[in-house]
Amino acid sequence: MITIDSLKKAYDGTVVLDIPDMTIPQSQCFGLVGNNGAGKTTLLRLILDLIRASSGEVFIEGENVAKSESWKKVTGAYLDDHMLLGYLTPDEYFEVLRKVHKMSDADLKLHNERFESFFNDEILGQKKYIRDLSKGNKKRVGISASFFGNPQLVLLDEPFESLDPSSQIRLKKIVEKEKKDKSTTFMISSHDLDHVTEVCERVVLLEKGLIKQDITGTREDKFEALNIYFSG
Amino acid sequence: MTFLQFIHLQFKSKIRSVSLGRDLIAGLFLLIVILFILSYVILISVSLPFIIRSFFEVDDPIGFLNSYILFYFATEFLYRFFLQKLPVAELQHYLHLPIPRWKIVHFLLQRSFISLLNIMVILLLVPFAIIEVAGSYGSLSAISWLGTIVLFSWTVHWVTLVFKRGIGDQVIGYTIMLAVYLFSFGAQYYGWYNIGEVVKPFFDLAITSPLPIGMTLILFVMSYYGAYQYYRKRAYEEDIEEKGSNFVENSQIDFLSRFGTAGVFADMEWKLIIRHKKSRSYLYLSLLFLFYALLFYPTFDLAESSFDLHFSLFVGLFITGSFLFNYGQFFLSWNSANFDYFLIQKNGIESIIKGKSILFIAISLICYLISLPYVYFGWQILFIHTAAFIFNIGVGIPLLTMISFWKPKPMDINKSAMFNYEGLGAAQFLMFLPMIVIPYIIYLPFALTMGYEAGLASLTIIGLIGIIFFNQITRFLINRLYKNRYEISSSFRQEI
Repeated sequence: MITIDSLKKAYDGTVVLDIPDMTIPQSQCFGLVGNNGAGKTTLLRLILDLIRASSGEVFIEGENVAKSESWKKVTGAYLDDHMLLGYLTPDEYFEVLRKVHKMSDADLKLHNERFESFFNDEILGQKKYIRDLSKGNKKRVGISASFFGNPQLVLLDEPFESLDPSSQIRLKKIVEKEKKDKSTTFMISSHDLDHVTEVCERVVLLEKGLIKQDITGTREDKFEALNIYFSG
Repeated sequence: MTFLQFIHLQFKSKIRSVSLGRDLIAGLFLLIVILFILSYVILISVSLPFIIRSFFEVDDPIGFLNSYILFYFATEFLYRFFLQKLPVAELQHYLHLPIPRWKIVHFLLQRSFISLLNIMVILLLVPFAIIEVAGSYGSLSAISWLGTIVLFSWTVHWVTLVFKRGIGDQVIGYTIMLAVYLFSFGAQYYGWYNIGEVVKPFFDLAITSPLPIGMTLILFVMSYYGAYQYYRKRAYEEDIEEKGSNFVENSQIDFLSRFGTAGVFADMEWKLIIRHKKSRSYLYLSLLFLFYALLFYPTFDLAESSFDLHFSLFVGLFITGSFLFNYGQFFLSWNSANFDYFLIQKNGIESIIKGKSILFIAISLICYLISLPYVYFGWQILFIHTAAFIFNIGVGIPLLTMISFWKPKPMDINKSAMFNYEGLGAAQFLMFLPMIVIPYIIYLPFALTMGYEAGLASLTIIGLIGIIFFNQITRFLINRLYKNRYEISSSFRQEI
């Protein structure tokens, strides 16, 4: 799904990310962990072509993200608040996305039904602009927005952060269901080792822009490996 | 997504802004100003042939206009530079969606084209084209001539967008602006050379040949394409955010520490100004305005003309207060990101108001001192600037502070590279209005009956009263801010 080829990002000569090469196969849930400044968000932004790579390339389904844009049709993402339109209500925002993704009303209804328990009656039908929502609710809007248009690939930056416990569990269920039903590929960065080892079969540990570990195996194995690394 | 849907969203973002009330009033004033200007434009345009014939006493009004048209474009470049904006920050809401990047950039560019500035030239010249050009050469020639000029003016639109984004907020940008200003008017005024004559044949030719309109059409398309390429290359998130490379080592102003806590806040504010692109550009702008007087004073005869004398007060107020007017009108917005911090601080509100006042006084004083050499153009200027300075300090600062409490806009100064241009628009100059009109209301009755000295004396006295009661006035402002604090801090927390 994603192929990374000697990707490097530097700001004024300081290298913040350096990944020689890496492949993420279809329907894998790929977890990204690392302390602050490890380069998690930078990597996600580079994959989405939101920032320019200093050198190297990223391919989504064989397409160079910096050279073409058709990969955007199969990719959904939520990295931060700025991806939302704060002056719309969630319903209005979804309506805009429906048009952008060229979906029918029935498609939108279907989508909202999928997220019904995740929304928990706190998102749809509210007379509130997105900018006035709490952090957690903004996140719920953004995460569900990244699933518009049935993407083959979904990138989420710290999706569990600031969600309430119920929503965290529901999000994990949604990710697992999407993976099973539609073999969607996920890339999730997180500080929550518990969640990320549970939902992702592969976890990559970044530090100062470099890959330190690339862990697969049972949940316990991954958790153990990460725990040892971060305690040391 | 279509262009119309995009425009619809933009419209929604405007009407749902948290500072709608303030924007509306600003908009209403702007509308009045625009109607005012438009009615002038139409008046001028209808009477343009007559004005040229009888006032300038020329027989060939078309040739006359053609030789001056370049100066019109120079002026246009200037006001476009200050009034035009391109909301590039919008990019980050759309970049991750399946809308091609080129399409978003086209949307933003084309939206910027929907502007009154772009029909101004048409309004201005259509009557002239009909009466003079069509009258003498036929309607086809009129269309060709007008089309050439309009397309040229529209080319300036795209050039300005690139220029403003490229070097607009650097010292070099302002220097170039100043150079254009002095060049276009100074050269003409002093009669060094007449560059207008050089381009005159081109516009003369437009009447008889389709070649010029064809060439400007190509120029127009090319400049759009150039602007598109320019913005397309920069349509990345990292270009929207300012990089942390402009680290300033030590910019402590020691003398401020004498003022206690308020001095600490003043010093903090100074660091805020110096370390953010947006606020820095305001500082540069007020330095640029110091030269503004050069447009007037050399031509003024202060001893003979009482109009010149009274008008000099405007220049004086403007020069000593330009930073105050520009920066001060966003009083609290500069601190919108950490306003809550001031609220929970002991005496936080008091310090923020006093601190800012001290800083405003210091910078106004510097502007005042720099403006003193203008005395060369007449010793009256010394009195005028002094009175204007004292009035700005005593009355201007509290007045502006008070106005700024009303529905302040949150501002993200860290993302200034783009948001820069959000602040620097037409509405900003509206705040100058009360700051200029009120002193004139005080000055004129005395000046017209008892001479300008009496007018200046009244301004000085009122200013001094303001300074004497500085503490009481500040107390009043603090109480007002306390009353509105919930409203203000909640509006600062909103808006993504």
